[in-house]
Amino acid sequence: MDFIFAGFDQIFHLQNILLMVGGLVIGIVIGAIPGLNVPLAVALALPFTYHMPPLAGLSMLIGIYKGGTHGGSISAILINVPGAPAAAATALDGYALARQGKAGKALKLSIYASVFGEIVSDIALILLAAQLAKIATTFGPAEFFALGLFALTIIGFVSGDSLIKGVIAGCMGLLFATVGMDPLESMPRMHFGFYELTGGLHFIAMIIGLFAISEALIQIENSLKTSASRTVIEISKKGDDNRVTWAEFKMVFPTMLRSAPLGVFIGAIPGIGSSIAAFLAYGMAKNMSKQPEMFGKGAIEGVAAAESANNGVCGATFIPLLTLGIPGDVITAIMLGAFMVHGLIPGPTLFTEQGSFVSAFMIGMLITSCLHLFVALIGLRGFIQAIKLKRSLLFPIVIVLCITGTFVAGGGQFPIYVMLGMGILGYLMIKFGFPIPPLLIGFILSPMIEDGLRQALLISDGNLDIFYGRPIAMGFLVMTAALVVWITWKQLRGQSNS
Amino acid sequence: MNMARVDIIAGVLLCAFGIVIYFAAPLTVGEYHEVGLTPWSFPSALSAIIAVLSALLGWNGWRNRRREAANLEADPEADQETGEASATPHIFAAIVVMGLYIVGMPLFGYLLATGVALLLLSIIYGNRRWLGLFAVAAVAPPALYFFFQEVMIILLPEASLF
Amino acid sequence: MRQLAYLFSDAAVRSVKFGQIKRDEAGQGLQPKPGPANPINLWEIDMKKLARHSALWALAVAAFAVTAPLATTTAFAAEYPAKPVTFVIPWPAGGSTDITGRMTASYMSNHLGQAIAVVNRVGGVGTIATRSVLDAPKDGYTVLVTTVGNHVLQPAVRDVGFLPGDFIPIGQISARTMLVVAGKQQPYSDAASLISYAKANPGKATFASPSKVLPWRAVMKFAKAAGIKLKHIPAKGDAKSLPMVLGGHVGMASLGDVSAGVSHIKAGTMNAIGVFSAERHHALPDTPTMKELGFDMVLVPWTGLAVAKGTPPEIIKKLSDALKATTEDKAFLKFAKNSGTSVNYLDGPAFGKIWDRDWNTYRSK
Repeated sequence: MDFIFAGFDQIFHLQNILLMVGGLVIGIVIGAIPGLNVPLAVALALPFTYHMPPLAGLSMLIGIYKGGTHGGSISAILINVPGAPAAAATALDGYALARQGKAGKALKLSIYASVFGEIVSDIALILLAAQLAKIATTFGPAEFFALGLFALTIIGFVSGDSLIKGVIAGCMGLLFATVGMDPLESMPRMHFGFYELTGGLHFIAMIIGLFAISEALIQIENSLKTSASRTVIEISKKGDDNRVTWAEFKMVFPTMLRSAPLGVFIGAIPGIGSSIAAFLAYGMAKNMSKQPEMFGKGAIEGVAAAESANNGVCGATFIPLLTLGIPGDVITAIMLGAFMVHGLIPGPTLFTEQGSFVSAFMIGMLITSCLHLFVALIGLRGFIQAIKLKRSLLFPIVIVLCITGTFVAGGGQFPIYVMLGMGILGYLMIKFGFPIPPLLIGFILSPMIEDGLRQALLISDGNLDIFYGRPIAMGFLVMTAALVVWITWKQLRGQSNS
Repeated sequence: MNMARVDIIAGVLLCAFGIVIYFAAPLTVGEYHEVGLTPWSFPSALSAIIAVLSALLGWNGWRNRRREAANLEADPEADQETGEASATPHIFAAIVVMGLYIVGMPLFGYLLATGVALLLLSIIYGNRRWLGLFAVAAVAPPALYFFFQEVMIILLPEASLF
Repeated sequence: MRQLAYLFSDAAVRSVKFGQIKRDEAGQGLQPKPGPANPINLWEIDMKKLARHSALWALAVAAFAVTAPLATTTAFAAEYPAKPVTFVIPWPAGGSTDITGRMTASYMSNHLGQAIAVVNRVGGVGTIATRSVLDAPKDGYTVLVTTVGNHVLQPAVRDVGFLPGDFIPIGQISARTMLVVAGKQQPYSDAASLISYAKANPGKATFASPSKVLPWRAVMKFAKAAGIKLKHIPAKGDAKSLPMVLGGHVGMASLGDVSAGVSHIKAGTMNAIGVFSAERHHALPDTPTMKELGFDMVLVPWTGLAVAKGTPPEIIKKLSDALKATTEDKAFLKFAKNSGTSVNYLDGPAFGKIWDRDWNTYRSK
């Protein structure tokens, strides 16, 4: 590990540190604003880095990436609108806590969990990059298919009261993702004659509609209730409601300790992303909790699990990028541009040819994580002030930001109509008792499952042996089957009891 | 509305949706040449699952309708929505305003459309503090406009009608 | 039924776009600029579209009646560019086309004398962005950063609603080098061993690449020329096909750009089969071209600028001059070299000939 010290003098420049802080601030703010999101922020900041030294530009982008992944949880907790898809799992319990007046506690816990997840992830990047990269390449189409199916079982844990409605919502998500281009044939399908639909349902627009617009519509009902308060949530005045007590921290620490490595694992495998990591960790925490019935009603483990896992992805996505030249998620794919533009081609030779740059970059990741703690804690007050805005002013602003943000994300007017349509769908789903997270999970996993299955069958000429012969794929498939049986059995037992 | 009736409605609608997609999916695909699965195998399978499950959901609701109705009669307060004034007209109004805002953006320009949308939406949410409202409607859109158009050089729609 | 739906979607899209069309007919009203009023000229621009929708037509007339007195100027050609120009990039941020497009935009704005806004419009293998440029007003304020995939190959393989000829070439900016790599665990490590292996085991050798894009086309042509049978495993881009090669799940990957493979070839984790350019790539001096291997095929993915047909010639000249000046700009060239972009400027007519050549190549199956 000698190489890691080579970069110290390169990264410790005031300019780099300031850019990290600046990036964190931008990331947290953009992440927290509904309608604006991290990929957009990174894409907008990218051209500025073209004219900076590589380390300086990357320092800023890492700050945005890390800050933004955590920033999404702020609006998730305060107004039940996840600023980033990865924060949708945080909203489940974070908003429930905020409704009890414990917004301060939830926000602080999300900061601690995020920073913890990041630091675990950075250390994994520094110490285990080569080993994790090897695991990543053992994942072929068959393994991706099996892992995708396995991840789908989270739907069983986030469906709420009705499993059947959760599964229907999940299938809708899987189905929506098939609109547009057939990923394998590169031919349009499911477009029903609308040429704009051959581009697929814009992911960002969908997320904003399903989570933000639907919540804004629900809040109209709340604002009409004569008894309701004029703000979205009340902040408790009690000290213990606004901080994480030592006893609580001790209680959630094992959850964080399990969730962060899960995030690292998901991050190291290209193409899965932080949302799935957050939901997997949430499902795992619920499963292992002594009080699983508290989940969804303000369980602090739920917030800790989701946040340490989704930020645990942040450092690990650089493992495939730096060692193999393969971006781990959408954001690292954009950041690849910041490497390429300076002639730094990620891949196995980056470590040998640019060793000191790589070590400086990795140390920079670690410094950013530490700075993140302070920046986020200082920024907290601002967001707590913002939530004191009246509901009747806050949500019109949220709606305008959502529409502006969708327009700015590119694609013209069509994605905005998609957003509005999804907003209405999300509202109807809430009214009809359908959970929304399964739809998100299905949408994200759909290409992984479909491509994996079809590619695997192409490779094996339609022979199913490709699944039997592979321990990882088989392992995931067996676990999936076991979980499905167990979840169904639990559901049926629950019904007969009531 | 009781949950059993909701389930029946959702079940019927989704079942119809699933059936329509099941038959429509292959029609949207152009040429393909592939061994194994076709481009519509996956969407068709999913829409079939949706149709079956939502039929199950509707049937479940149908089975439970008597029991829930009886429960409601025994305990009328369980049906909370009857106590409050219906919000449906307001929801409709908000959706219409959003739709008009999107259509109006390129016609009236980003600034005007955003200001008016902000104002109307606030009124729908029940805000009647006119001074504050007009202040926000006048300040927020230019701030966003300045940030995106001038700082980030992302062009927002200009007015085309005047 | 599909036809009906198509009609409906067209109408829907047009009525949405209508706002943008109208904006530039009379939209200068807010900032009056000196110059003669020339409304007739402007009306011709979208006469056809407007005529099809009489309701919109009536609205337009009403709007025009209101705004005509305000529009003291509309001869924008003389003062082009009067407002920021938009570059539409059909591929995602951070990719190689995005780097080329944004780099060009940032230096070209100096030569054009106006800010250039860059929009990534991803989807439909680039065709949505391409088509959106045709729907925008033909006033030179919407410029397409175009590549062979979205511009020529897609219309050649399916009906996408436009043809390469619907655009006017401004100039080519750069050309890339396509590369085929093989995993090190495969029984073949170069073209000769690949061909003998594939002949002995037809259909056993697999390669990954997206469907119906140039890298796929190139390998299919190569296989045909070599008389071998290769199995194509479609994958969504280099980022998906590379891990499959590294893990040995497929044999080869056909890459749209050498940059994704260079590091692996140098590190020995992959072997290079060959490049499809006319000359060897400077980063891979040991990798032969297909021509050297005895296959007379040069397939080059290019990136350039184009505008919709119907844009006034004065504007096209301004854009062409600015692009030419940009590609001669020392700062731009230095920047391009750093990022591994091979600048290969061609003027409009020469660029147009490339379109025709590729169109003929890809139409013939």
